[in-house]
Amino acid sequence: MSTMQPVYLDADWALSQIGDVETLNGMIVMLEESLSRDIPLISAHFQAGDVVAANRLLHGIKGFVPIFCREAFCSRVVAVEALSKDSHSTSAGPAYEALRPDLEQLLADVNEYLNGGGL
Amino acid sequence: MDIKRARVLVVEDEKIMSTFILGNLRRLGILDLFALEDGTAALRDMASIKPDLIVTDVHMQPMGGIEFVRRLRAASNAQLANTPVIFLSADSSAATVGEALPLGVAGYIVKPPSLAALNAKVELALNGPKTPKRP
Repeated sequence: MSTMQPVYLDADWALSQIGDVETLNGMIVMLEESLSRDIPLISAHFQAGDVVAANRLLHGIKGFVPIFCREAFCSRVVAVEALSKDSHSTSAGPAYEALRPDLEQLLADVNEYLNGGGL
Repeated sequence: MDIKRARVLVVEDEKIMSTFILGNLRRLGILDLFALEDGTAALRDMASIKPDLIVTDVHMQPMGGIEFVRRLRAASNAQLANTPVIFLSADSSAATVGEALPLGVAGYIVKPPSLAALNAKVELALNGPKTPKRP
């Protein structure tokens, strides 16, 4: 059993919104799948100049992070997603790269949660 | 109508959000639930599902929620065409909300919805506004 404290994942907050541990645990598995797939993919889209595709994935993350994380973190995702609404944006890619380590920290929190057996 | 007896169709392409919405509808006691991934699938299956209420995302591929509801409202079957709709989206921009509201929707909720907000909008969509009792 690990003793690492999560930085961004707030399982108690998520449980209060989801209602039961079984659904929460299922959704955290989905969160792990989504973040593992999309974090590098968003970078790849920005690097390829496809801001629209990057925005589509960021938009999804923006929608679900408030289920699992507190507002301070969510507002940073909202800000980057907002920049990426402009398909010609040159600032959205660098803003995402600045956010990416924190999304990776969230993914690390999620893996820690899953390895520790959940709530 | 007792909302617990309602048949609700959730149209959402994001798996986490779909699970969250379906779970919260179950918490409200609504058990007759259907889920589809975009407007094309919803239009295809509307006639067989015959939902009392639709809860739909806005941004989906290949057909988003606004286009779906626009086509639904133009359906020749009046009962289907008038199905109450609640939009659920992470997009709260004035442009998108302004496009959605003229479609005769019962609500526009910004994701993720709180249980109380979902309950209030579902109740409103199925039963209309509650009028205060006179003293």
